[in-house]
Amino acid sequence: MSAVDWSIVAAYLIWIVADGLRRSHHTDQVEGYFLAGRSLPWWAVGLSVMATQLSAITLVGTTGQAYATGLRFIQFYFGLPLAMILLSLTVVPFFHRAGVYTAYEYLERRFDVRTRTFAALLFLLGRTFSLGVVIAAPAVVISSIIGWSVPMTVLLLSVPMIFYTALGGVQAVAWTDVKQMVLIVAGIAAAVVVLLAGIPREVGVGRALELAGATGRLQSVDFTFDLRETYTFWSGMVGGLFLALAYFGCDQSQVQRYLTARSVDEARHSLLMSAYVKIPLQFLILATGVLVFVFYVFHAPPMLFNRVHDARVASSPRAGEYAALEREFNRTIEARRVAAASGDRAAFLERDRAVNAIRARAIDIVKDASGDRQYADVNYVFPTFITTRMPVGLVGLMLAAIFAAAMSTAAGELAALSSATVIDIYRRHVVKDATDAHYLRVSKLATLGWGLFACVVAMSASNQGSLIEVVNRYGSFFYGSLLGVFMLAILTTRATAAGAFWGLVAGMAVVLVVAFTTSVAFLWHNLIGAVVVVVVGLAISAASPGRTARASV
Amino acid sequence: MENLSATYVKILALEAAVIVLLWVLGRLYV
Repeated sequence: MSAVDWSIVAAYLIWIVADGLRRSHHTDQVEGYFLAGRSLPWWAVGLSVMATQLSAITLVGTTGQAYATGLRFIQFYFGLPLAMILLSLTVVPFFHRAGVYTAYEYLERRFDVRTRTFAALLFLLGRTFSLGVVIAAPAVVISSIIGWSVPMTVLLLSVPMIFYTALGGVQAVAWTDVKQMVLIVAGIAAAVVVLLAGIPREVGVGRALELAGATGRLQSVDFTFDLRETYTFWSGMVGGLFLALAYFGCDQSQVQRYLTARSVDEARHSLLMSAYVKIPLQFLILATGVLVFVFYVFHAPPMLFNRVHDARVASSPRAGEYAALEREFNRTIEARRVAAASGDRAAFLERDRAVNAIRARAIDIVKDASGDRQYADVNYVFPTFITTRMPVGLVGLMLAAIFAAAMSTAAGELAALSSATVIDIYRRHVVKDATDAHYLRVSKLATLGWGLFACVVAMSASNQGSLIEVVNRYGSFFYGSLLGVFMLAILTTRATAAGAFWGLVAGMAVVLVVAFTTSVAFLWHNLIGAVVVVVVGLAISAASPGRTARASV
Repeated sequence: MENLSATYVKILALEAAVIVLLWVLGRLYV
């Protein structure tokens, strides 16, 4: 990377920390620290919600996925706009009027302290490890770009983020999120311009789209109803709806965002911003990945983008076989380029299939030679394009955008972990009657502590690719069940405390069984968890009369 | 509280339009 690009990344890091710290002057109370004094405008909250959700994994992994398979992943977001509407009608007014700090605090008002604490602990358990992964996954990719070790890259990402989050609280997180979101969109736009400029003039965008379409990469809507298929119209509309309801309605990292809004209406508008923008933004990110594919049809790509095991392969007994495969790959890539440029569709598709087959064989050799069974290539496609094909200056901008995506998500989760720890556990169970200054000190220490713990998790997680999948699956275990409890709390007056608690336990248990004994795709776990909690919760409530009145808010 | 019914309708109409456009895109470029 050039000195100019390094300067841009350094300037970004200094600017974002300075901006975060500037906000810390307004956080001398717990309410200011965790909820920004409920003073933020809807557009800032809306951008912060989107920045927290758009992680570096989304930016780098989704473009890589679109490069490999196309636009299908967009179906994942089809349920999101409806979820935002339902939440703005139900949960948002409830939480806001209740004047709570965390989503789980509301559960005690409606049910009992047992359900609140259980829900908060579920959130803390899930988010601690996911925060580690949110830092580790981009750190692995960024380390390959900048040439630093993974632990050093983890520190480069985390230390500035922990610093401004611990000192500035949610106020610092939200305002830095706004700037980071702008930077991310600017970075993607710059990449799209470079990609479009890279399509040969005689080919043009229309023919480029035909090439992408011929390989199935523009097939984005699949109406097949198959519970085992991860991305279909139905899994996105139904499973995705429940996932979005759970994520935006029950996950403190999102709830905390819209609790910072000035009023109920501003909070509702902040969520509706995602309803408008999320699918088009995700389309832009996926389309970038498809454009990277088209770009590499006309500009020779490397056989594999993830070069982390190059040295091991070169010194392994299969080095000769790998080198021969690389020569065959280069010949096939050139033949594919010629077929694409001449408009020979059948020849292009035949060569493209050959390219994919060679890549699959190369991945097998790398796995065999390195012993790394988790070796994957897709996350390295976009970073490779950035570092080898983008002009000086834009490389720094893009890298800053990836940093921004990673830091905004991690900061949001860190602030949420700290608030749930202090409000739902420490203030409720450990020290109940202390001064505001005491809780503010503890809150800052909790943020710092969780940040350091996440660094340690990130450094150990970076060696274990499978951990990412474990964390994703774990998220689906409890998201649907948590949603079920909030549905019992808000939508009916019949649920009792016992019903809510045992419903939650039953929901978790059923999802666990479904996840490990069937091949039902994980998006459906959210629906199953929510339905089981509601059904079991209502059945137990009917059998055991207790506190049923809806909490006044 | 502000009545956002018109906004909700606009959001759902926009989403339906986007899904139709994506489907058409997939049909046009096969």
